[in-house]
Order: sequence, then structure tokens, then C-alpha cells
Amino acid sequence: MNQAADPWSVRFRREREATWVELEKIVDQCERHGLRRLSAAQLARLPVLYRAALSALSVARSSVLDRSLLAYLEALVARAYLWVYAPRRGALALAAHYATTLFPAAVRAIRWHVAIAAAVLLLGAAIAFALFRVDADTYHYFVPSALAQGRDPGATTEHLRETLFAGGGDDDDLLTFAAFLFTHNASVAVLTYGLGFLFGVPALLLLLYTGLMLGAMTALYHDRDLAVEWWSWILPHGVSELLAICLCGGAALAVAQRLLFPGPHSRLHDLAALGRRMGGIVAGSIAMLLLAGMIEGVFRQTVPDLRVRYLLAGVTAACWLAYFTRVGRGRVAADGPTPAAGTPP
Amino acid sequence: MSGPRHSLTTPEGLELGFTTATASERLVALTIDLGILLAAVLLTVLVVGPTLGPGPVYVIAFLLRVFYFAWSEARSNGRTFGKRRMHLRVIRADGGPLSTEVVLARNFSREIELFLPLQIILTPDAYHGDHAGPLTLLASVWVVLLLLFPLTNRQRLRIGDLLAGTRVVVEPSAALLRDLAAGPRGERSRQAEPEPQFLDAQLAVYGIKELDVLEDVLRKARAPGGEETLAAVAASIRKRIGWTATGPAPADYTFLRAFYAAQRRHLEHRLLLGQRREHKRS
Repeated sequence: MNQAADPWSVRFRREREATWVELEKIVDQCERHGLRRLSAAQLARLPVLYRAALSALSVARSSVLDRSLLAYLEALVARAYLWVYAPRRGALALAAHYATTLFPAAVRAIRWHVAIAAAVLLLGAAIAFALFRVDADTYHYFVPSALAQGRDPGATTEHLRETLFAGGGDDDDLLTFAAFLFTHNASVAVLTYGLGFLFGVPALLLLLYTGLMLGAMTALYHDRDLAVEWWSWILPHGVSELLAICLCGGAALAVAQRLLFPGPHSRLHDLAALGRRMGGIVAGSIAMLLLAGMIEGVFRQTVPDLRVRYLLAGVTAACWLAYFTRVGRGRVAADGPTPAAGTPP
Repeated sequence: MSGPRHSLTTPEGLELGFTTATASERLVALTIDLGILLAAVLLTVLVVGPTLGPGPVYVIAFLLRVFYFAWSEARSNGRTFGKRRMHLRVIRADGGPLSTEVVLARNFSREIELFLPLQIILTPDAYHGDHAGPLTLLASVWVVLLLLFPLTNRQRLRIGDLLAGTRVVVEPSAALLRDLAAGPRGERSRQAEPEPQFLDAQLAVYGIKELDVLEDVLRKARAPGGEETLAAVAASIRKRIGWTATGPAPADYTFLRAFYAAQRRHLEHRLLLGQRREHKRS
């Protein structure tokens, strides 16, 4: 054997080292500033260099005995892999794509779960309504005094009427209250989703409780012959708000169902696939709650006219109905995972 | 201490391995992130509060709490500021792209496994109200279980990791070191010191495992105690393969480096022929 010759792997490394170093530089830059700061030339080079390093690694694993070289290649390829297959749509494009396609489709996929969530909420409302008719004091069980703000059976009818049309009062206070309600509702929505992991039971309880609160207050206003005014007060924002809470409840029930009755794959695999879509539903719901908060804080307080209020409620309901049943139909199937860098068009 | 390995297969069909992060690494990263979050909320209270009133503060604080983690993970491909500092990152267990949906799914569940338990622990009266002792105790146990969920599995998965199918791993990193077998550096080769030569029979003694150990010894030659190890290993190898110097005896490092190069050339040659030897003959 020729003792002067270098080991085979020395030549192997010498021939490829320059491309590895070039790849490492690009990956370094990605890790510091993200993909968007790469030049067009670098962006084009990245997948080419990655594949070269990848094939070098698979050769090296079987026939190179330089352990430090192997460790270097393993780390380099793993780092490059995470950037080559990173999602590359900008935040705005992603949000637009999500709003026009993925969100309504995800909601359609769990429509029965949403229906069950809505049914539980209505059940709660019916129970509280019926109980109030029997004994008005049950109101205090369902509506915490912090949320009631004096709207309880002890209040005068005049005061209750005022709360429904309090427009000219202190604007700052109203805005604060609206913001408080939004954060409260949105927290409940996010929490409901998280509770799905606990087999959905707490989520159902939370929906039931929201229904109880709604039912008790409705009963109170009906009791004072303020039904028309009450619904004009609650519906403009309530349509979006209650729908959003039902969506989160539906998402939680879908997660719970997957946990209790696993599909053909393992529980963890199924859960991950579903959880991803449900997380999106929660994000969409938060956007809906923000919209509801804006209607509540700005529009409702400045428009005392009942017809306009009901009109707005009707329009919002029609818009959501059209949005969730029509938008993005048939576009989802064509929408695969984000294409990898350098995939030929 | 390091976590268990997590491996995934790239679309090209190659298996890549990652080291999952330990609970302590993740805790430190989380603490850094919570510190940043708290600072941002305080800043909002101090700057926005006096000018716009408490309403916007509520909303901004809420949006920060719910979206800070998701936003910072989405914008940097799975690394919040805390994770970046700790050299951790989020990857998808199946190796797919870390899309926004994945990031949202794994971070919305923080509300139940982090923020709610923290709130209950920090302000127990507001949540337990006037419930009786046993019920309060039960609720506390439940809350602590939620908080400590990652400690119940070896991969330290949060509930959010399960919901989104993600893992938190250590960022892979390794520098390209000088190849020990690539011949001595320029100035050395100009010296007339002859390279020790080995016979095929002398190279047939050791296997791949011994080669790896020898590489370690050579790389740590400058470390404290490296000199002694070098001498001991050189003596043991000389004895084992029955090596005798033809000219003046070379230094231990020169001898071992030459032996390493010759041994690697020999084993790699055999490897290309399909003969793999893991250990020395006993």
C-alpha cells in the first residue's frame, strides 16, 4: 500500500470543503437576520448547496471515519435543512391567505362540533332563563357582580333602561369597559381551546356558564319589558362574540374527540394534525372578538336608534353566514404545504 | 446532561438527529421571555396608560400576552428571544415547515398551562373564593399538574407541543476542525523529520472504535493532562503493534498522528471494499 497517499476522506473533504463553508455562511446569515435578508443569488444557491452537503453527509456516514468531519456535516445539514424548508410567505400574505381560505375551511370541518357548542350555550341560557322566572335571586349565582355593574334584580327599570342607551355619559369609562369585556371574552375563548386537552369537560362547563350568564341577564330585561331594547343592545356585537366563543368551544370539542376516540393513526399524530388547524381557529376567533369589541365600544354607544342596531346585527350575521359557508370553497385541496426552496416550478 | 435524541426524515430520505432540550434549558428560556413580556407590559402601562387611558392598556397587554410567543417564534423560524439566547429552537416533529398555524397552536395553549396556573398561584383568593379547603387543595393540585406537565415525559413536551406536533431542540452546531490525517502543516513538512511508516499487519490490529479514541487523544493533546495521556497511548500502541523506529525515534505526537493517518487510510480503504471492523481483535 502506498503510505504517502492521504486517506480517502482527506480528498473527499478537500474537493467539497469550499461549498460547505459557503453554505455555512448563508445559514449563519439566516440565523442572524432570517431568510428575507438573503440576496437573490444566495437564495438560489441555498438549496443547491444544501443538497450537495446532504449527499456528502450520506456518503460520509457510510465511509468516512473522520469523526469531527461527520459531526460538522451532521450539524451543517440539520441547520441548513431547517432554513431550506422554512415557510417563506410574509406575514401579510399569510394572514390574507388564512382569512380567505384556511379559516372558513377549518370552521366548516368542525361545523358539528360548533353546533354542539352552540347548543350547550343555548341550553345554559334556557336553564338560567327558566330559573329566573321561578326565583329572581338565582340571578346572583350566574352573573358576578363585577360584570353586572349594578344590572341586577335590585335595580330600577329606569336604571336598566339607561344602561342600554348610555351613550352621552363618560366616553372614557365606556371604552375602558369595552376593552375589559374584550380581554375577558378573548381570554375565555383562548382558555376554552386549551381546555379541550382535558377531554373537553371544562370547555363544556365554560360554554354552559357563558349561556347561564346570558340567560339570566336576558330574563332580567324581559322581566322589565325591555326585551326589544335588550336584544338591540346585545345582538350587534353578540352575534360575532357568541359565534367566536362557539368556534373555540367547537375547536376544544374536536380536540377532545380526537383524544377520546383516536383515528387510524396514533393519538399524538392525530392530535398534532388537528391541533394545528384548531390553533388557527382560535386566532380567527380573537379577530372576530376584536371586531365585536369595536362594535360594542364605538358603534353601539353612539347609535341609540333601535332599527339601525337591529340592521347592523342582521348584516353581521348574514356576513358571517356567507363567510363561513361560501368563502374559500374548493381552494383548500389545491393548497399543499409550503413548497420547499428550489423546487422546480 | 442532555435530552433524548429526536430524529426526523428529510424529504430527500436522509435521517437527521436533533437533541431535545432539557427542562432546565427550557425553563431559563421561558424566564427570559417572561421577563421581556413583563417589561413590555410595564412599558405599555407607563407610556400608553397616562395618554390613552386604561382601555387600550387592557387590549395591548392582552395581545402581548397571547401573541408575544407566537409572534417571536413565527418571525424567526421557531426561536423566541429566550430560546435564541439558550440556543434552542422549535421544530416540527415530522420535519415539516414551521408554519404560522403550528406556532399559533403551540402557543395558545400557554393560556391554560402557564398563565392560568400562574394567576391562580399568585392570587389564590380571587379564584378559590370561599370554597372549602379540600376543593381548594384539589384545584391547586390540578393547577400544579398542568404547570409541571413537561416533567411527565422524557422529551419534556408541553401540552402545546402535543397539540401542534412540535419539539424543542438544541440548535445543532459544530465547527469544521483541521483534518488530523491531512498531513502536517506547512512549516512542519519542510523540516526533514521523516514520517513513521507502518506495515499492513501493524494496521490490522485496531478497529474504528480505537481510531475514534485516538482522534480524541490527539485533539486534546494541548489540554491539561493531554501530554501524559499522549505518552501513555503512544507507548501502549508501540508495544501492541511491535513498532520499532528505523531512524531517530519520533516524538509521541508525530508518531500518533502518523499512526492515526495510516490507520484511517487503512480502515477507510477496507470500508470502501465493504469490510467494516468496529473493534480491535481481542
